[in-house]
Amino acid sequence: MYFMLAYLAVEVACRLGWLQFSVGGTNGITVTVIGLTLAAVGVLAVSLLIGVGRWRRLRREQASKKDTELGNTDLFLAQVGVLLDLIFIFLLLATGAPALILRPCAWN
Amino acid sequence: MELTDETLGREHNRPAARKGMGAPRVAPELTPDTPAEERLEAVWADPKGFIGWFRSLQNDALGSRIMITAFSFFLLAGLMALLMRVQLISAENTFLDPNVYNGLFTMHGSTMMFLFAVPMLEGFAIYLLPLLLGNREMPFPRLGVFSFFTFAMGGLLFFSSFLFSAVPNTGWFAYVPLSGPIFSPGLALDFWLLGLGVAEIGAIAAGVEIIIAIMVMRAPGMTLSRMPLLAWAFLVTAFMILFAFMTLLVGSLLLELDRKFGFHFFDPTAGGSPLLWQHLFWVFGHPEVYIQFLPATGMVSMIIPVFVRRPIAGYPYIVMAIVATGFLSFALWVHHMFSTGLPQVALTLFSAASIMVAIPAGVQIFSWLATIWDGKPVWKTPFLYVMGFFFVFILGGITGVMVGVVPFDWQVHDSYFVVAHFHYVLIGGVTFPILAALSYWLPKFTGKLLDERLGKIAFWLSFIGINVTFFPMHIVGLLGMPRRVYTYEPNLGWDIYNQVSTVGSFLFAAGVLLFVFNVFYSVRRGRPAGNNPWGADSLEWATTSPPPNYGFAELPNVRSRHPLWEQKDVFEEEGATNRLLEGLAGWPLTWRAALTTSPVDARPREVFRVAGPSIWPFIAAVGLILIFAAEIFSRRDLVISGAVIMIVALIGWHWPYRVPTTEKELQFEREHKVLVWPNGSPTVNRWAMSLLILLLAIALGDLLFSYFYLRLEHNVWPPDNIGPPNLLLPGIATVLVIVAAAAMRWAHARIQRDDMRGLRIGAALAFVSGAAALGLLVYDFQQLPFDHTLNAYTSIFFLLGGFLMLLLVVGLGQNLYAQVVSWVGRYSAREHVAVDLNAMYWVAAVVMWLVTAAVLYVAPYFI
Repeated sequence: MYFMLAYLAVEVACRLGWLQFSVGGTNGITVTVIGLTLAAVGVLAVSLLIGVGRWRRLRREQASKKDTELGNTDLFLAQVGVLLDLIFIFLLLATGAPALILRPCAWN
Repeated sequence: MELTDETLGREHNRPAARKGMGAPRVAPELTPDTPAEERLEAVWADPKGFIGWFRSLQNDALGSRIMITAFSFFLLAGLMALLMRVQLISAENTFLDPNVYNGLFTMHGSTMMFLFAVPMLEGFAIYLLPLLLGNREMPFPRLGVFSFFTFAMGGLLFFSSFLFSAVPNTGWFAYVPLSGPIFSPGLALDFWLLGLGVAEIGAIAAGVEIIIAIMVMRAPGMTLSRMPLLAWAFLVTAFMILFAFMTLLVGSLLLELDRKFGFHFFDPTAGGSPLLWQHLFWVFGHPEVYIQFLPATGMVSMIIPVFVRRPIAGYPYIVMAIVATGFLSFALWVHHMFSTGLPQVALTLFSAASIMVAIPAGVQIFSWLATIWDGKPVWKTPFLYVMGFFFVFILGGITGVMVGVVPFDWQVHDSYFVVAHFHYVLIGGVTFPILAALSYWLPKFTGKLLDERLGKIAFWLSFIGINVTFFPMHIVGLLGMPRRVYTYEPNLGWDIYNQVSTVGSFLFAAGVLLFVFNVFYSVRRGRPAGNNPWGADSLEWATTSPPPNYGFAELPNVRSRHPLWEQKDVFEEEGATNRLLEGLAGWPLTWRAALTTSPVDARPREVFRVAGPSIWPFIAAVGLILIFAAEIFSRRDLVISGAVIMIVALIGWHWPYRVPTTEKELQFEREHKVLVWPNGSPTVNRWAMSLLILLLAIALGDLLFSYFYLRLEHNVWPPDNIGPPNLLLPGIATVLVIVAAAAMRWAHARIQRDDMRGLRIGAALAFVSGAAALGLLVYDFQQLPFDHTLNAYTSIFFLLGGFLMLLLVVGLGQNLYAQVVSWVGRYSAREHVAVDLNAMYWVAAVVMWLVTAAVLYVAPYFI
């Protein structure tokens, strides 16, 4: 969704001349792309925080031998979720950051 | 036990193997004293004879057929590649004329992508999953039959283009305008669109089956954290198939409408956009690579631990990598369009994502390396192919990162460098793992070990062959040789590289042919494999080779990620679950019973009847093929005939032959605390309906993307002074659709209280309301002052309107079925799955209706 929206926003802005506003000297397209990136990162960061909390709780429970078979599965899912959040946060930052230094509607 | 030439073929886990013992494959005479395993065999055996072949649906027979058909297409595509290499062996060669060459590279690419790799992997899934997951069958065996016949007949339809001298010749991506009605006016592109379209429907059907099997048909105890990595890979891949193949189907529909019905989606003179096709194609096309690659990595993850004699390192990290790759693969499609002219910000978005996909791939590779590093490798043929995969795929991956960099991509775009790159990826990352998997699992499939000496020679021929073929292409590509040219001028410095490539291609072909010979030879003369010749850890090795029709008499009870290594006996655990499994081994013996379990922690939930042999799926596939084949030749009378055949077949397929629930079944329920469904599982059906809704939502997403993309081509929307649409009739229709959904929900609530009259009233009200909405919509379209042929806006307007009508027609069809069954009196508070599904569908239809109607009727006032 992030890629689809960011791509369509750039195309809309550059082809139809939309998003021609400015925020603190930064043009509207850059603001939109960075905004979308930060929004997506924000969602993932919340998911990461929740996931880490859940992971730590499940690990404590396992350490205190309260774990069950389902507990192990939950711990596994929490771990995979945290890893996925991390990799996607890194990915989004890496894909969105270039918008800060590029001329948005310069064509190749 | 050490895995050596001496121990190869001996059973490494005899205690675990014994309860899956195969019964004779010939159905015996049954008496009450007949042993349970023989009675199971009789219940699960496929029908015999010529007609029986078309009715048969056992997962092992079906999986084998799909794999053999796909491998045959692979050999055909390989033959075409050899012809192309002979043509290119020298400059200005006249072995093939340009048109034939164009046809060959199109057929080669399309066959490899659509008819070999994906079906081959789905064939593996259908054969292996029930065994790997410790169950008896796939959830919808009849859907599997339909999938096989649509794939096989779609492939034949595609290849029949040779008979009509109408071979597709625009490349496997069929870019417009080259593939449009002006530049490709004949039948060739219709063979491509419609022949492969049928095969894609088969792929989607198999994808649905795979998802449901993995989610709810795992052995008790096989939690998500214990699931084999191959199952994880199949699961993610199957979801990707739904998203990617549905998108291609929508794209193909748009192109066919442009070609034959006067629509203008891709026609720039009427406001359409050729680039829209590229977007739709590559939203499919790039994930397609990962659809092939991910199951291949799953196979590698299964094979490596067995041949280094230790569990896989970093299981959670590999799962994360598989899931991440699945998501990321849908964020890369624009990197195939870097040279089409895009704003810089758009380029960097997709360039960065393309490079980042190396991270999850790298995670998997390092996990495998760590596993090998910590183990003791046994250099058998499957492991050799895995090592070949490492070497070849990593080179392909590195050049993939290179072409992810925009300026480099511009330099090598459409050159032989790209040909080298993707062949390293696809042969290294897909073909080698498939050959490894065949070497690894053929002993299970056939009961015979492959000849090791022949296997190793075949590997080395293939390994050397592909490197000799494709490595020089990097260089000749950097020297400027473009792709898809049938010849080249002398003295450009390209000759020697092409000559080396051609020699290499014959070496590779020799390796593949030797592999095929080895299979035939070993099946006839190979050593018996035993149950578990490799000393492997996963459940498919706990039953006989080849497996009996019922897979397992007693289902395994899983307590570990490596059950055959870490459990003393997968069939001999304590507790209530084991009592259930023992009970299931001896009852029921008159119908095909399988088990559903909960999606996360695999707790037993239901014993249900799996569908038995039927001719209807084959007839439905014939009807579908007739529709597509007739459309190629614009024979609408035959299209209608095909549709009638298909509708009749679907009715026959789903005809409710209800079996009353007996006291014995209720007693089994009470004793083991699981539900018993002799007429099919509500859980499995709900999953199927959810996936149908997902498919419709994906199609809608693609149509909306197309709508907004076409909007980008216009400064004024709607164009050509059309004006925004009228809201009155669509508004009334919207209210009626909401009423229909509410009525169906109410009908569902009534039958849950055993109120048959309430069900009938609610369902009838839903039908009338939905039909009225459909009538209003049709009337509204008839009153429009334009038709679909005016411009791109009217084209997409009519198509989205058609989608709304489709939503209603599907809902009304289901509603009618539920009503008919209700009047026959076969619903009760306990069993009313069709009503349940219809209610689910109508709620989803309302949501999709509201989104579509908002875009179609309201958005033009604002955008």
